[in-house]
Amino acid sequence: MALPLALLVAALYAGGLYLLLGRSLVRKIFGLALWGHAVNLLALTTTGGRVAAAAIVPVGAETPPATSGDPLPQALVLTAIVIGFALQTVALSLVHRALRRRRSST
Amino acid sequence: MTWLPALLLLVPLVGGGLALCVANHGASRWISRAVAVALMTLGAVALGATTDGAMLETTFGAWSAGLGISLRLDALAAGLVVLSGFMLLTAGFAADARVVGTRPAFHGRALLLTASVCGVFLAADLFNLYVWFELALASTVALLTLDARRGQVRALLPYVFASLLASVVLLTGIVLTYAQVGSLHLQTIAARMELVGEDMQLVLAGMFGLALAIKAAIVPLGLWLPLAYSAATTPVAMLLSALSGKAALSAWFRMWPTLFGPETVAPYVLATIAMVTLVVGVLLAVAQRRTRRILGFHSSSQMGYMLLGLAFLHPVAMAGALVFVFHHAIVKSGLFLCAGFIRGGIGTDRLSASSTPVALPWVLRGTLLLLALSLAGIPPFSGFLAKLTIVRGGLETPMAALAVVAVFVGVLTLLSMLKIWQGTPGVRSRPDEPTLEICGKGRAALLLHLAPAVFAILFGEVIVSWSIDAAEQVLGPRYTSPMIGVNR
Repeated sequence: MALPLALLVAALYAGGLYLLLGRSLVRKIFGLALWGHAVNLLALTTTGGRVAAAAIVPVGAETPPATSGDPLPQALVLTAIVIGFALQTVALSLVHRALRRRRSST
Repeated sequence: MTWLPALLLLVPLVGGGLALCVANHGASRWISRAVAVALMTLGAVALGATTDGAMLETTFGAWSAGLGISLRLDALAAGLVVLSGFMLLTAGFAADARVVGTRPAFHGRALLLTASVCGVFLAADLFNLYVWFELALASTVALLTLDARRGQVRALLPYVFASLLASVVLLTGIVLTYAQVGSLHLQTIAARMELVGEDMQLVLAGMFGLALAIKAAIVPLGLWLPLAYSAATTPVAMLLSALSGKAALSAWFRMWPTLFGPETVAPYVLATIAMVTLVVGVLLAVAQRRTRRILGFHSSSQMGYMLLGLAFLHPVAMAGALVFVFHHAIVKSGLFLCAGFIRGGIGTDRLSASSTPVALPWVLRGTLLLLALSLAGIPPFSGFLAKLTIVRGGLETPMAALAVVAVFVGVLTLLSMLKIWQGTPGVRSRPDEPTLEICGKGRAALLLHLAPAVFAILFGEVIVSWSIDAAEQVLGPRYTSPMIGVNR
């Protein structure tokens, strides 16, 4: 499972870089979004990329089951998605404003 | 005292929320001033609580440190919180003085920026640091677009894209660090960093270095900075130079010594980059013809000094870098304020412009001269204190040659300051010219900037001794234990 994930992460970074290097501002934002996904996927592969159970402590037990995955990267990804989305929105609105101003001035 | 770090964040956050909700400009102004005074007071309490290497750490939600969100309050963070309260106060005064017209929403956004940079100063784990960085970016953009006129939004795009790019690189570095050491808590990472192979350490150093170099506007990557300054109104430029830039530097100070030791080539690379930034930044500054652009490029160059102090990885040089952070924040924003008044009075900040000659009042002329000399590093002023401490520390390291070069680059800084002084119309006035009027709040903001400069002249000894303590705390035992009696 680790190798396909690693290849996917590499493809996302490469695609994002390609879009970022273009001239179009909207494409740049899509490039940043792709990079955001690449980082999130990378965070998930830090657990080894294996399919693991949710780290929830069963009723009556003290520790989560041994098959459970590391919950911390999942928490990080959740936060990173929210923040990345918010900032892409900010960037998109700025680009919108910049393009609108330019069109009205010409 | 575990409430103290949380309080330092809650006060500006709640204040910012309130100030954005109230529609009344007067109310938001008083909220901002109250928060600024509260931050300085709480920061002073924090300074008292962090003497002699004491450190307060709060982890929320009863998690063990390293799992929960934790805030760490050390001497540097306490000092920086006082600084942000101070900057919030003076930038608020500058905004109210309508140096260049400011909208009511300024105070709420300035408060949120203050809260986010305080978050960066206090963050004890890497992910927390990243989150506060993003919030600081969002509030800086909100401040910059507040008064953005036609065309200025476009000047902001490089800043936003550069910062977002840096954020992704930073996050990648954070994730890779977690994959290597299994923790995000800075102190835990520092303890486990020896287990990471040297090649991986260099990869991480490159990731964090690249991300923070963009955020701190190091020369080849920092061309967005002068563009952003050109779009900013005076109070926003003050906050941008004093808070946003210093947040990036604080992250450098926190991460570099904890993560990377002198055993790799990373410090040498950093020192070289700092040196290039120092030289190229000041050369670009000297070539400019507008006051604000000189100051903007100059900021980039000064980043070089502060990073050089860090690259030496020596307590005294580090202490010099810390003094430099405070000195630069106050002096540079004061100069932006002066430039704002001059631009407001004359209509342009182009040097040697010959339109509408007005005489500058003594308070503006005096502040401009004192702050410019301070920035240039002329002996009794704070700039000299900072540079001297960096060079003194640097001379004791294997990179002593760089310290010597840094001294000579200071001459170029003096040149750029002389250029501002010589070129500003109205500095040499004749009695028949009308004097530029500055309202009470504007004068208050100018005098507030002079106060720390005078304090630095009188109590340089105290400042250096405090900063050596703070620097030892920042560097950690790895760099301070073999020191045989740091010469104070």
